[in-house]
Amino acid sequence: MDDQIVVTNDLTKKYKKHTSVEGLNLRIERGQIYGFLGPNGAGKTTTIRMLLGLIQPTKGRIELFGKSLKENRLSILERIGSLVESPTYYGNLTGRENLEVVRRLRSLPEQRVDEVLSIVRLTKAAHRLTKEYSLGMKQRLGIATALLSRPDLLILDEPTNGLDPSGIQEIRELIKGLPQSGMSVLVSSHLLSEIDQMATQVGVIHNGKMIFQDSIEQLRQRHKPLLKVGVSDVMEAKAILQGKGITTGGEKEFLWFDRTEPAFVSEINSILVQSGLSVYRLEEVKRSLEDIFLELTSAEGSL
Amino acid sequence: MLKNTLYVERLKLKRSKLWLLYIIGPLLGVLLAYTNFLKNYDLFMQPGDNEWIEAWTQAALFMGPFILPILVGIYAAFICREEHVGGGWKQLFTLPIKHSAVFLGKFLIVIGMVTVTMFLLFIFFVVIGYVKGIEGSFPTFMLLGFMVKGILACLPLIVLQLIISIRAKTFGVPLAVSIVFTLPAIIVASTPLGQIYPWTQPMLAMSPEDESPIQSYALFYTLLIGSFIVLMWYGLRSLSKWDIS
Repeated sequence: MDDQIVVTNDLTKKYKKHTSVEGLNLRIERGQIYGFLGPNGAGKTTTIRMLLGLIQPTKGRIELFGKSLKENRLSILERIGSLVESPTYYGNLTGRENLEVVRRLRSLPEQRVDEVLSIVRLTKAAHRLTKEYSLGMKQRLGIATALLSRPDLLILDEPTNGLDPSGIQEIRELIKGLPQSGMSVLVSSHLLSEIDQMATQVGVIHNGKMIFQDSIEQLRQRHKPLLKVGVSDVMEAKAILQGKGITTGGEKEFLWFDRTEPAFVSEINSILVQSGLSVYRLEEVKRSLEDIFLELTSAEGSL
Repeated sequence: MLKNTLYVERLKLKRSKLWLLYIIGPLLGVLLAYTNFLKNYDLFMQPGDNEWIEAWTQAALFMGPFILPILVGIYAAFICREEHVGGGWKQLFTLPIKHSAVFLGKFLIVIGMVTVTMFLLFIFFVVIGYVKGIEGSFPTFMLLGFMVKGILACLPLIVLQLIISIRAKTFGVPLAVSIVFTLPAIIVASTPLGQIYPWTQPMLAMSPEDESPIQSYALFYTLLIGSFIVLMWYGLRSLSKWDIS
């Protein structure tokens, strides 16, 4: 069995002059929870729409489960459950009837409706009309719909939108448990903290381009803590260190180093103190993923 | 697959106010027809004419070029509206269903709605006719024939209005198109264009032969089927290339 669930090559979508997605090479393997991360308007939803065949790519290839999407649309969609942007609902139907719509179209057994209703805790509200549902309830109905067919690949676009904190927690735990049954998940978000808490693999998209794609550990490791040094005269300190062959990314007030091991910190300290400068701070700065993300998305190459 | 699609399309109409349209449209048509017929009785009735057939000519005149095409426009817009409002299109097209099945499902549902409308038209025409004291032998098969022909003649219009309703995100656009193109229908009827103008075709098919401008029915039905095939081909093709955003 091929373990590559999603492979795109040079996936591109252009709208007239605007390029929404450019040269995307997405890789998702079986059992991964792939966090698709990017600010609003980065091209996440456009990419997801292309993966589902809702829109046609301008350029590039999409392979799902090792088969070309273009030639095998129906057999591929059979194995995918999805929630794209806002959840679909027919307001004049109850929650149960909404699920019944999809159950019928997918020819699934009746008991699946009850199962997914209880998974997203909508059993009690199942007989209410969905136009009376809160945004969070509609979102959960959307997730239930996506789970209905026990898909091999679940695609959730911003699934925690509109949910309250406990709802977010609940959905997160639900998603984290899915790979145990062999499911692969693509979950998009503009919130790093969210991806950080459930994804095993991360793809960061910005302005339509993939700027990072690897395991979440890689993302964290690539950005080790920094050493921040407060010293009386930054300019002089820089010059002295430069003489010793140590370069530093100094700012106005502080010196910055990308090494934090004790020997290195002591060395810096003793050099500066012996040169007659007063060192008033030696601090290890741990950067949150938010900082890393900002760094990735801002003009590339700073540090 | 089509069976499930039809079941689902019908389920989606649950709790809708559609029955109001079913009743108002035909009732309005029949009432206008009898009012006009009885007011101008001497003008319409020549010696030897059957009252029912002459009255039906009036019903065909009000239903055919006015009420029926607008109803078709509303029906088509109606079954697309919920999809636009609730994001139904993207769900439908991410399910393992052919684009054509979605389109055909909607198409068949509108045919069903038109059939219900025609059935009620027939009922109202008969009941109100007896109440108003219309006399003469009742031409059952002839009238049923007009109903069936009327439904057939709606097919190109149904496809056309569906194409518009799928593309337009609001209810207003297909409705406006329906009204704007329905208004000149009766004028177009007397021109050669009438036989391929979808808003006129129902009227032509529902009118008794001696009241109709049609010279050759063979040609008319050939044109009807031709325009239906062309529109259906276009509708299916454009749907499969549709970028759903």
